[in-house]
Amino acid sequence: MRKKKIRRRLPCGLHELGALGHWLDDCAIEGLRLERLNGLWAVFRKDMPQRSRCRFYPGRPDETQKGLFLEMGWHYVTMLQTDLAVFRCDDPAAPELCTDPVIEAETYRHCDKKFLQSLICMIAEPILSILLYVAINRMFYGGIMNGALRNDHIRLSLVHLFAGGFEVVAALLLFFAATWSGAVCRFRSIHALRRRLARGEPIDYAAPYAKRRGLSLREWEGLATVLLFAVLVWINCIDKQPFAQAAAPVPAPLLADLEGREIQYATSGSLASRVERKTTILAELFCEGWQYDAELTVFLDSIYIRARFPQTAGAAFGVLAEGCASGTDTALFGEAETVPAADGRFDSLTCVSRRRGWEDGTESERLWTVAARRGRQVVSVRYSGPQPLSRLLDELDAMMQRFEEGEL
Amino acid sequence: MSKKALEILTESMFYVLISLLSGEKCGTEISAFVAERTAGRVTLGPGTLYTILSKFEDEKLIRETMVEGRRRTYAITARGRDMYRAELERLRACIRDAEAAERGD
Repeated sequence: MRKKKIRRRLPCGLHELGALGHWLDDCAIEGLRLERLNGLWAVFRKDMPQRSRCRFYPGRPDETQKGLFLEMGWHYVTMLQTDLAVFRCDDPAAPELCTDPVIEAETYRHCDKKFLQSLICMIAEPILSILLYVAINRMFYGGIMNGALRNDHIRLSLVHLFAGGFEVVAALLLFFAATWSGAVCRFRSIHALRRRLARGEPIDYAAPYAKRRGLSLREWEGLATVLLFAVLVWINCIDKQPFAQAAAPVPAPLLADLEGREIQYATSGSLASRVERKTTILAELFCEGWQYDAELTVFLDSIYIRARFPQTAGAAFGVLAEGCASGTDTALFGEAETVPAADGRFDSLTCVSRRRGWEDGTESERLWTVAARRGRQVVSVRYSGPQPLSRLLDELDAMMQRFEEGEL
Repeated sequence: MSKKALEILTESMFYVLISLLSGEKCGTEISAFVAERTAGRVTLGPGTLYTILSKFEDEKLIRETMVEGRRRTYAITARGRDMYRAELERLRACIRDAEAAERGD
């Protein structure tokens, strides 16, 4: 008959070895035989109550060590994470596992170093990730601002964390606070232990432990990790949908409105008309829409940004305005012309016009590229179609007004 | 363990060297010898003994002479004997100084 397994929450910090050993000894008196131990709980099996001692030794034991310890009455039980081996002795006459505190202090030297390295890595990794994030954005996405707004393509999982909104930042801060606190506590615990042992003070296995109230630091770390990943899954996703299925309002000017017609884009047989929305660390909403109407041969390629801060909106406008004037078709169609446009409806406005096509020696298409900013809203639009610039600006104004009034 | 630590041996370490002076021994035999010789005053737990034997082997104060399954037998080396004599001299000097201080010299 299989003996029943019992799980109990640890009553003390993972590296409070004296109190932990005391607790395990008391559990043995209750008839609980330790089988496994991790950062959060211990797993026991029910057995005869007996007095036994559980002690710890740094490092994973090899067969020689296990053999020597067994000859002297100490059985290997399990590992406490990867750092400490747990041994048990049922013979009260057998000597303690470690009888010389100064020697024992030296055995914890490796643990001490390892915890310090782990702490340094834990602090350095986020900083290095931020630097890497900035470098990648500069190299591949036309600068930090552009990358920070558009970086859904960054694959590095840690760096991609920064593509989320304040919810992700808050979850990240909680995660780092919990894990750094845990790492600092573990390092300080082992370091203090080593110093006491080096002074000749043995570990006190009669140290008291109390039934824990609230969460332990380890449990906080676990909770913060789970929370972080849940938030990442929830928020770091891009919502892509065709216009016909998009919930109104769609945060981009609509070709239908521009043309003064009612058109169902998803059913017109055109190429994909879609809108993608996401949040980033700098923008509450970053939306890219691409619309194409094959019947009229018009298209509207738009970006809508609602920035978290006015300063971000200003910087985003600058990036998009620069993009208006650049293009790869200047060799064929000539340079773009910046059209002077002062429009009191917008805080900032840039309008660029360029030729797009030729037919029978005359200009057949004109491409408008417009960037406009009002408050925290920034819009960049590329439009090729029969409507004049004024009509396009009217449409942008109406769209921004709707969103300012809370439609989105 | 730093080299400096081995310049002065702890009591446990010194008794391990003493136990190997009289011949090769395995871990449990060393522990039993020390307990018997000191009438239980000095006990070597397996953790302490294992650490000492590992360090002595690294510092070439002892060498492994036989392996039978998980049991290993050790013998003291010439360097180990030198370390033992140096420690013995140091302890004798301590005792002389203490006795001189008692006499008021």
